[in-house]
Amino acid sequence: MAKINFHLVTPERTLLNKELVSLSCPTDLGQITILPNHVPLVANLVPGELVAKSAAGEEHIHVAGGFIQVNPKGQVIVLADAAEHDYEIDLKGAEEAVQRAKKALTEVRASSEEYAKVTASLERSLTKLHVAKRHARRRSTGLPSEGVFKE
Amino acid sequence: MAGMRDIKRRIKSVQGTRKITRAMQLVSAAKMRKAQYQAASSRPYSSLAWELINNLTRQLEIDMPLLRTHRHAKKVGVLLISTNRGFVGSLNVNLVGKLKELEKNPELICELVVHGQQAKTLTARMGKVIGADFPKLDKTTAIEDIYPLAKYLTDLYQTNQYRKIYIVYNHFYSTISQKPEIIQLLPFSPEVVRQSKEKQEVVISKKYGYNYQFEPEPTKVLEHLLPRIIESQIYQAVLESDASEHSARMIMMKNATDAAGDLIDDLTLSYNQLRQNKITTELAEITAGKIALE
Repeated sequence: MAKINFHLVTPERTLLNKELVSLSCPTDLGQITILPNHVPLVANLVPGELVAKSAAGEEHIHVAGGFIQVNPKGQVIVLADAAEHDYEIDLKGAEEAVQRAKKALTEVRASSEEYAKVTASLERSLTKLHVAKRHARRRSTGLPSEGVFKE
Repeated sequence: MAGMRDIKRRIKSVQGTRKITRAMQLVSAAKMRKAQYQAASSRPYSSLAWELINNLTRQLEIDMPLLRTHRHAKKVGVLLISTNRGFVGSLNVNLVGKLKELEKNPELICELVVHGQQAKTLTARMGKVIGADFPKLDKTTAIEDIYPLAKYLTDLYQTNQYRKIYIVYNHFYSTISQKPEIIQLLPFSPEVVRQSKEKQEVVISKKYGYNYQFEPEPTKVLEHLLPRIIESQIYQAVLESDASEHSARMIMMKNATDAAGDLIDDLTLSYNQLRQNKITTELAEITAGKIALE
């Protein structure tokens, strides 16, 4: 059976590089799922949860936006701005980031550029928190997060 | 004897120098490991991104400000990434020497954008045109630090002032080997054209079944994608030159420490010889005195 040759890279590291059965990810136009032999595709990713299904099981990864490319060779490449496994997310840190962003949102209404920046950062933190909470019971050991998000 | 005291003083001073160079060697070694790791771990991203854009520009005919070429612009922009400090051997001098390759074409004026203190002082001394100076931080660069630099360059390109934009930086091959390199950042196409010439048949045959589907439309995706790719290329170049800098400095300091050790050995040998001479002379005098008394 055909498999997806999958790469997930961020500017800081390579997060995942394995064979997958299917991949779901959040794009500009909604959640899409990619199966083997997908047509070549380029799409924008939005902050959200990426589910990578392989023979061994599912992996849940939070991405903070980026791009997905399906190339004609059957490779799927995700260029993420930042990404973390669900068990790597620092729940407390993410909650604090949400609080900070909400607070900043009430203060910076004046300048639109700043407003957009804070909104984007809030969205990233919220989706991150969402991913972490949904899979909280799977977290056996609280691995420290690497603090990918900087406000 | 005066000679002995001089030698002793020199040994002390060389020992002091060796202490300093050894400390600098250890510091650079620690920084080097970090910088090398960073450069290596961001390589997949930038190479995959570069591959993507080459794949896309080969088949797309979309009019985007960043995909246009400006044939009539008289200037080329050169981003020169150097170190902030010295003690890196010939790293920076080689880098500036590499500029000559770009200056071969007399019709085009090279305008430099310097990143790093050494590039600024070296090129200013040579009387080159410096368009802008983006100071480099001493800590490791984060990708956010690149944004202003990338924006400056792309703005100048989009407003038809630069025909091409190059990056000149030190590529990190290994701890003992770093070489200055030139990459063309913008426009994306010429390199693609050159590549596709070699395997033209493949390209043509693929052209039909090879169309990427875009979600949403291509312009929207590229609008996001192109700046990201430019940023990641610049970021990678900065990381590579950081890794080169610390490796070169580590090697330099190691050489200096070794040389100081050799010098100390030599001096100690001369010191011991002098001391032995002195003892022999004294003994001879004592014996001579004793014989005279008998």
